[in-house]
Amino acid sequence: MTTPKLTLSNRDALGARRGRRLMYAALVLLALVFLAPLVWNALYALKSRSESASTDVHVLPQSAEWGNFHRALTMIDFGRYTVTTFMLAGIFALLVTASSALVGFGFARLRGRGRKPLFTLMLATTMVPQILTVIPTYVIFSKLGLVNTYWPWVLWGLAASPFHVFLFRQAFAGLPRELEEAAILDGCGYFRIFWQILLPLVRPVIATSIILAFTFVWGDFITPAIFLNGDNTTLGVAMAAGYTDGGITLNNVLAAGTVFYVLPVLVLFFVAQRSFTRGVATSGLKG
Amino acid sequence: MQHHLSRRSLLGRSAAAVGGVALGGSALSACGTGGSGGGGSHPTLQVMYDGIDTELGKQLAAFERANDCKVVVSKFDQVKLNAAIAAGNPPDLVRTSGASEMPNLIARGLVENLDPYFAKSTVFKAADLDPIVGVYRFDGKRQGKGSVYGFPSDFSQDAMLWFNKELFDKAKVSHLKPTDSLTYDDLLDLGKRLTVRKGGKVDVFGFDPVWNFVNQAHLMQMIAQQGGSLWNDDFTKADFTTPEARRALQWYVDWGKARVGSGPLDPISDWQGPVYGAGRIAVVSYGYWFGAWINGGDAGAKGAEIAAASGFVPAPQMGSTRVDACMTATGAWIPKKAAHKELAFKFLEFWRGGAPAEAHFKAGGGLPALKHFRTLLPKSTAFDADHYQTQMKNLKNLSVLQFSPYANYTAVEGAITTNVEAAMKGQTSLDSAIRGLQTAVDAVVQQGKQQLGA
Amino acid sequence: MTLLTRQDPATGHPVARAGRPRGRRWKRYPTWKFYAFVSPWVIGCLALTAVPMGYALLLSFTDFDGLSGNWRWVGLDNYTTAFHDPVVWASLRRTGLYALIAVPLSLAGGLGLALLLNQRLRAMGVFRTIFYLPSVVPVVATALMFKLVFDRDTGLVNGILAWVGIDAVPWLIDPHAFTILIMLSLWGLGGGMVIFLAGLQAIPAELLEAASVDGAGPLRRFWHITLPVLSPMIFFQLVLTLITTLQTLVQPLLLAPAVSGGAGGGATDATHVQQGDFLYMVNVYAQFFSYQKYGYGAALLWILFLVILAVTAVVLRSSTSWVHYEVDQDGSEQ
Repeated sequence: MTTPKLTLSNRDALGARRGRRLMYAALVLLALVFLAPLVWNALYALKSRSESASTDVHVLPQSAEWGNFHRALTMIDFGRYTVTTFMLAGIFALLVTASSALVGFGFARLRGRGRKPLFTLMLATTMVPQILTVIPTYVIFSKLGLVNTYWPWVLWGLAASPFHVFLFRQAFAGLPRELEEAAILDGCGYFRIFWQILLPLVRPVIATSIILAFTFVWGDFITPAIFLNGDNTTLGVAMAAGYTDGGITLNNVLAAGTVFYVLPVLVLFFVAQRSFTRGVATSGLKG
Repeated sequence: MQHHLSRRSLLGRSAAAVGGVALGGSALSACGTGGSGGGGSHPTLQVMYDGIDTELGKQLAAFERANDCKVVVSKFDQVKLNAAIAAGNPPDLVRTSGASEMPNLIARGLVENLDPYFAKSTVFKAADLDPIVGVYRFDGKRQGKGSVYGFPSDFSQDAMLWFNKELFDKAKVSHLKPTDSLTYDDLLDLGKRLTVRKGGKVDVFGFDPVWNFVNQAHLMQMIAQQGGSLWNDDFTKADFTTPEARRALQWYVDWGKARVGSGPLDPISDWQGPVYGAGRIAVVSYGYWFGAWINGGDAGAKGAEIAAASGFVPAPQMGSTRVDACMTATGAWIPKKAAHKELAFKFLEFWRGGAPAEAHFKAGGGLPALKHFRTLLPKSTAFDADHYQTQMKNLKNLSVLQFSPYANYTAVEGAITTNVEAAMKGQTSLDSAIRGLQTAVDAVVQQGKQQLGA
Repeated sequence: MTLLTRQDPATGHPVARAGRPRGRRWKRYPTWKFYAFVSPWVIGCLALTAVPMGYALLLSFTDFDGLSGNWRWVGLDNYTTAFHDPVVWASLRRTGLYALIAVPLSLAGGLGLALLLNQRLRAMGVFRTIFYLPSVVPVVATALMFKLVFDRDTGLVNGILAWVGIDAVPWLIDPHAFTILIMLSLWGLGGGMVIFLAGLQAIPAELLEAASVDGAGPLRRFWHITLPVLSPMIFFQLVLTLITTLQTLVQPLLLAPAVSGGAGGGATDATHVQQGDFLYMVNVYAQFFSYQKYGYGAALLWILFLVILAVTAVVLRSSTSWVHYEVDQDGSEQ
């Protein structure tokens, strides 16, 4: 079915048009507010150091310093860092989505002794500030010889993330019981129910999970700063460390780098968000 | 069903993977402490010092080839450093901001004693070492004498002043001269005359002494200039209640209230450099290294303009004793538990004793810790030559401040900032600020003594 | 016809629970399958969370400074000190206020945006991307951007104000700093929007159509269908946003005015964080990295953990009254 989720009946048609125009206006206004810091950042990257520090504020630069963008791409090995970060984020996103879907399914649809306490415990682990776990985790991984490698991300991906588990659990919990019952009547085991029946129904959540996980690793600074070193670190850390001159950060170059930094994930998101609108949810009982 | 089995075997496989890694990992770490450097050819040198790779560029590869190693440069990160030390595999070379950090680090037994390395070195010769290396010396009790525990990248006399001649002209104030004997009070007055405010903004800051960077050092210098001392003889107590200390703190509060520089009531988002480079600071307190920054890499046309208009004079005085110390001397140290100490020292020799050092000092990035590099400092343009002259003449006033090994540097800075800013903002009186500061620093020292087992 | 008579032993469903007869219902949900599904997390969690937490608990009973070997057991001293420390209480109050404002606003905002953008109208994809964009930018950069926009002397906002003839406002220091912090956290609405969008997709279209055929207007459809079906997701966002908001640390540090004169590397230092932004975790960070009081910091962390636990428990308890699940969560059938 391809009908929109929120339909407007014919009686509201005229009011709907006016309402729609108002809505678009509001959206455009809000979008401008949201974009303002980013646009300002891009303009800042185009300005020279002394112009950015002037009290005479102009929106457009007096003389565009494209050199900052050039420096952003050349002062560090931008291409290489982009590729490695992309791979790291991608692998983590896929692994964590897969494992969290499994665990979330378990919490939502299966019974077991200790399920509720276990869920609460899982939730409780999100209440532990990262600052607490970071040094002991480093020590553990160091003893295992895993620091300065990408293995911690693989392990974290396999171990599932409470955030994503919770997300899947909520998604699965909302699906009707009848789907399962029909499948059991047909003689399906639970993994098959998971894989073939319920998982396809939460496709938007899968996309969400992948995007959020990817974005998280892409933008994460603290973890790579500690667990990786200068050579194999992520793009974000490389940028923060590399745009320096005599130890002092060049903020205009950093701003330019940030513009490039957000582009890949932006494109990824734009492509992926279409799956949110694909009509997936049906009431379908198979067969 | 098949799926159950395959699911469980996947679980089994990942568990085995983790287990295998754990076993392998523990086997590796069992082969000797930090052993990966031991007999291994092609070791990896971990350098925790921002920007060295950008600075060295291709020369880094040359060093790697010459020593058959790999050099990995990372950003300085306090958390990572602590974690790495806790895990027993610290980086091989670590950045430090210098003077105020070293005594505490050394006293805690974290730093490798470099005397034997210096003795064998052909690059760092004893007679060539500038007295500034004293910042990295410690004899068990005081900084300034004893064994060497690190080496500075470069140094400057940090309380010296850069001023913008054009802004002085605009305000019809006569230029500062190196031969003037400026006092802090003079400067505060000048600052008031030079500050320009409009529409709630500050267009020109009259005098910015760079509050919030090594405040303890500035205070120590101001007290020493009056003939007093912040710390007692064995560095177990800092006295902020003496008349000298009070005068210094009173001056800061007056300065803060006058709002002639970037401070708690007039924040800037970045640091003073770009603001000066935009022609918005009349007098700023930075050392020789700032000259190179003004006209450095991305400064553009305006940078050249400002550089030509910049004057450089010695530090202001608060009393009759002339003290013009180096407050930082950013450099590097080698952790005791580092895996490749010899190689780290070689890197140090290369970085600040070899070709990279020549390039650094030719650009005027700071004053060299090896005297023979002094001739490389820039003197080609009129103003470069001017600044060079002023600096060389002022070197005789250089001294090494002595910080307490018991007082953690960031803790003291925090105590100073919190208490004095409250007075600047008018929230407390100076006397209660001093009392608060005294109590806080006493606690810091107390904690330090406990931790050092003193 | 019950399910049991249709069960075929050949499919492999164990009929009896190992020594735990719980009634016929339980035979359909064997515990080991549950654990098979959740095992990845259990293993990972134990290693990576339980161990550090235990370590931190031990640490909280000492006066460890993070590096040297000279530390002593101080028992509950750290906890009693924290109880009497006015700085701790002030930071706790400030954090509570921050959560009280930021959490509802971000939930409402995210939900509102998702509802608006859930329609299949033109340019929705572009709008969705625009609103999600801030979440893609790393935190370090977002704080820098906000500082650039709100800087008193050089920022965009004061530039606009100047153009209109209004004096510059010092946005980044007290008393305005808190507002800026809230704005920064709301700027990340896109993350919540994405989650709600996914949740909205799960609402069966027939339900909404049937309702509108029956004469229900958009508001009634929203209240009686959309909201209940979405309530698990809302609950999810509420709990997680609350938990992460109470642990906010990085934004106040990054929004603080410049620390060192550039030459020190621009280290983030908790002492320059404005009073309005002085959240609990900022104090903890200061204890660890400015004052080197690892023991005290660890005690403070455990206290925060317990506070968050208590608050979450309250929210969880209340959830049974407003969160609607298809599959009942405590074992009984719907």
